[in-house]
Amino acid sequence: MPPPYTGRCQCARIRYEITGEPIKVTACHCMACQKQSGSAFGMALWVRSGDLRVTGTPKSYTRTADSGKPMTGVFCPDCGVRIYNIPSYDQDVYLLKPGTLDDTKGLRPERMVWAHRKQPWVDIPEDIELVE
Amino acid sequence: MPAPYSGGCQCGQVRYELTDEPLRLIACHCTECQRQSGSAFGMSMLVRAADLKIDGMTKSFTRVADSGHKNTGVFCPDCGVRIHNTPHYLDDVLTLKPGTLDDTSWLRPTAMLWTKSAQGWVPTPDDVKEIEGQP
Repeated sequence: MPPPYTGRCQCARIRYEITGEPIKVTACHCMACQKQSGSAFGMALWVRSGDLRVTGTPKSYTRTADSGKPMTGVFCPDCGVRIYNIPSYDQDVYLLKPGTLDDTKGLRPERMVWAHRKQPWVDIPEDIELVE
Repeated sequence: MPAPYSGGCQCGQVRYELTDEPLRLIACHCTECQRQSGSAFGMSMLVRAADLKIDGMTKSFTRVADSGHKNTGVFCPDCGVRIHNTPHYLDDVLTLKPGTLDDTSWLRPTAMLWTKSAQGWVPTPDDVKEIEGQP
């Protein structure tokens, strides 16, 4: 399915549109992604920052990632849902949280990182690269 | 590992302690859980409300679930991380988001719900029960 792709937070105060093809999809088992998702792993849809149109007024906060570099999380102040992260290592990329897309069928990460933090019960398909 | 279990949000403003054993752990592929987590599925740890001691400021919002029941999400206002939901159809039970625990290595859900709306790439482990919709 070609772009644009639409999505929103749970309460719908924040909506967005992705106007160009995303770069890739990854998943991450690090503890920060587990806390963000409240689940087993986080996911990131890598999009060019110029391709993301957000409507509504999100809130943001910046933490220092394990790498020592700042990472900014952008979320809905009314329901808390994270829309995307802004990494400091690439100014032109946003890491969108793809579970917020209106259509999530067909999402499939090409690699899963921080595998040594993986909750042991999670099975990973053989064709997805696991990175320690 | 016996209780208590500790956890918190991403920025550390909200911390909590779960003082007794959880009742049950499930994973859920419904679209609301996908939005909440931003990921492939959400997880819910059913705990007795009296067993969850929260320290820090929280904010909440209430939606009407597909079931018609109200569900209140409780989250950190500073980083947005969901700590738990309060399902209004269950008395005295909260659904904690277990990815927020400080140690998640022992987690193992007994069931995966709403697999009919799953993204499709996450296999259901052999000993985890698969349920197509709402149980």
